[in-house]
Amino acid sequence: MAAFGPLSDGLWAAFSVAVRFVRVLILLAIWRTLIPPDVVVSGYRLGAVLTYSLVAEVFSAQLNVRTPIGAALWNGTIATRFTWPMPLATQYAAEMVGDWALPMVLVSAPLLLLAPLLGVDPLPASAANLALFPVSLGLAMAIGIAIDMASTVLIARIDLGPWVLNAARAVVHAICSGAWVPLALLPFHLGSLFAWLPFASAASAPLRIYTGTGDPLPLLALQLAWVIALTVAVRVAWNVSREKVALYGG
Amino acid sequence: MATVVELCGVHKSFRRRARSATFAGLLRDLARPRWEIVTALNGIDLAVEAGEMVAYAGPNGAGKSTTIKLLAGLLAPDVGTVRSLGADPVRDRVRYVGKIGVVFGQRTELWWDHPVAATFAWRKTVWNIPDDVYRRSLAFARELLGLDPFWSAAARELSLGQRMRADLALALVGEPQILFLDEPTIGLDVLVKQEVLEAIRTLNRERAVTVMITSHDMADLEQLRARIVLLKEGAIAFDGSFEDLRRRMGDRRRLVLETDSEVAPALPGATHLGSEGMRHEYAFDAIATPIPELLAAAAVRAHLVDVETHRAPIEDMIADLYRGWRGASSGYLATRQRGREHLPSGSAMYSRPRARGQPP
Amino acid sequence: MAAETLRLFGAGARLNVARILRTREQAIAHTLTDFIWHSGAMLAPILVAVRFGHIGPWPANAVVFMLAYGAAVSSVMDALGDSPWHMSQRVGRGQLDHLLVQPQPLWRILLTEGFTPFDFWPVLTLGLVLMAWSSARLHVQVSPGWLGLLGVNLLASIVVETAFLYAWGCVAFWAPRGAEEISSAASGLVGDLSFPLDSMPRALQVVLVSAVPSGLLSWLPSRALLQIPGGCAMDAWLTPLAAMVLGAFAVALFRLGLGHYRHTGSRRYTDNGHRR
Repeated sequence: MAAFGPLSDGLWAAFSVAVRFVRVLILLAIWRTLIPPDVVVSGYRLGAVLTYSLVAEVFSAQLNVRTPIGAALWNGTIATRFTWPMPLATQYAAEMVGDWALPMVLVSAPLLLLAPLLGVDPLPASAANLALFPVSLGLAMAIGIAIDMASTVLIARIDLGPWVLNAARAVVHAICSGAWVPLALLPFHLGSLFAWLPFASAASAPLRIYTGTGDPLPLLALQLAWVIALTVAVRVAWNVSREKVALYGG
Repeated sequence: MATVVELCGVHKSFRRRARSATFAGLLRDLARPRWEIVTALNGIDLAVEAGEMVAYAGPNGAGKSTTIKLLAGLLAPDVGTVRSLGADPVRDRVRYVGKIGVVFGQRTELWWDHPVAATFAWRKTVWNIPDDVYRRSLAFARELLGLDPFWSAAARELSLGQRMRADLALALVGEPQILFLDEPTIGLDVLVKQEVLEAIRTLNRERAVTVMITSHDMADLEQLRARIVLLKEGAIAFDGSFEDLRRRMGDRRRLVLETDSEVAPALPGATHLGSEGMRHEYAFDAIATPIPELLAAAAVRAHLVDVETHRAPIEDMIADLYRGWRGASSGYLATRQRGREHLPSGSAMYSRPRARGQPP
Repeated sequence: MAAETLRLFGAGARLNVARILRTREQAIAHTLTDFIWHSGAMLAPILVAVRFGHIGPWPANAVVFMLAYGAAVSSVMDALGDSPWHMSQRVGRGQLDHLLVQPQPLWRILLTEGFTPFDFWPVLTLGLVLMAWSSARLHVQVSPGWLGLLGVNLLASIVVETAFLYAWGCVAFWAPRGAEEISSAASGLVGDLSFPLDSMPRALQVVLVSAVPSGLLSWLPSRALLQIPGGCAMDAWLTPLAAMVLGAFAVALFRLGLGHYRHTGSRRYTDNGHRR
């Protein structure tokens, strides 16, 4: 239902997601400006950075998970969802996956196919990296959902409009996750610090595994640790705040 | 009495995209979109005089909300003219909407995060309402609709009934000359509905505010003792009083007999609707089967303990009417005697609006 | 006319203050997170510029100026309320009716409803301070003429962004469901491209100062004001010129769309985002 809704008025919805193509082109051009072809910068060759940026855009929704729960909280429709015979997280996760369908078809798949024309190698570093990438991506999505649910609880507890916290999340994601700029390319060793945070596990880790610019096992271990820690923390916070969440929005 | 609202030969249609539910159909629709024309209004001629209370009713899709939107300046007619307070609601929108109040039942004008009071203050500024008018109309609205218990509450903390009352009060500050209410009682509980309807009656009676109200709830509209304009498929099927409407549809009544038996006696000319213990309810047409005749038949067939007659709920009559328009006929309709006229469709039943002060 | 518009701005400002002060946590959270959002949006390009010392012909301080300029434009845009950012949502969700029942010209309502000057003053201040700091570091000759040019370009950039968002938002008049989120997509397009564009292919540069005018929101005006190599003398007037053309186009398109809306109305309604 969530996937086909935007198509009910024709192809205008497709246009909305197609603007992402332009953003990718600009990002690729910027890296080409900054990194000469034969130079290694903080462990990254130009080719790896280009692949990194491309794949980050291909999986942008999965690397920056936003469930519909924030908007539902603000509208007050979340209360009715408690009457569905399904955990809340499952409901919104399913709706979120439906929302991903159209952009995956219209942007992600074409980007991968057109990558050679853009001068980008879309292939992973190796077959082993390819095998580990879905695992890492799954863990990254789990971390993303946990962060989203934690934000929901925070919004309800301190009675904030969702957009306020979402705005802060957006910038944290942009700087600390490595989705825009590979963490190793940040100055002042900031990347080394950010790599330990859950945001990096939610975005940078799978991208580094895909491009072969990070050791997969430590990255996967850190992701798993964050999944466990955040799941426990969010469960506790959710149970404590369930009533507030249901009542939020009237 | 001055005519404040006038619709002449108004037609309004909408183009609607036909959508498939299957995936194959969806793809087909993307390549070759299909369109349907939906006629909302089909030649409406309507005049409303100052101080009138007009109930605008009809089945779903009859064109009620479309009419309100035309009069609120939100839509322009395809054909025909719409004039209200001497203005074209669309062309003269800015000047015109300052003199009217509009309430859509399922929409709120309140600022979500702010106390109700703040929205009123905002309205005063945007509507540029003079201080004395604002104070006077606000005091009146607050008392009429009982806003004080939640005056300081944020809109998102209000119940539906409270929100509706606040929205109605908001439409009243500035002392509008006409009030357009589109389904204002939808979703409200019985008590709040009564309070809102009473407020509307008071406004019309004491302040001579012209009111045009749409609703599905015919009992509500009948309570208002309004002139009723009944729409059928975008055209006026009836325009008159509720009494007139009842007369035209036959004098439908209910008879409740309490007997000493749980078996309901069969009464000629009456349809047994149901029984609860020894209380038996019947529907009948008092013109076809006069009450004395029916009571005499009942007395012969059962030992009567108690007898009660009252008019049939207007909802049942209207439901039968709508059913008839859709082509089906109910068992109850079938009891009507020959010679009774059906309500014709189209504008043929339109009659000049009664003058204010005439009995319904 | 100006007095009436200011009066309505005042109403918006009062609501803004009231909302911020409603709870202590909310006041702090509002200010802090807005600051984080806008400063964070600048941070990624600045960090890259610092890391590499430059981005193309732009030294790091010039990148700071460019981003600060963009933040100043963005903060004024945000203070003007939801209308430009959410035009397509307003139209697509049937919320335009809420504006049409107000006894004010539509342009005034769109300009003033949702005015939130107290949400974004920290970012505007940050932008102005960083522009001053970076231009001092770059030894820019700050004269009344230069300041006038800066003001004209800032205003022009605001008009360009507003007009662009309105123009795309108008698509929702004809496709209310499909184009409902097109304003968000358009704002993401112009907002997410805060990088110097000198090294882009020429064709892409032309696109980014015309059809997708993100280059006019900070890059081109900054390049002209800082006299970065690669520009020309006319660059300082391109943004104001584009503002006039794009503004006229957006107004014409909006009028066309509104005329269409008058005849079709909105068959769907949700109050999601309305006065929230």
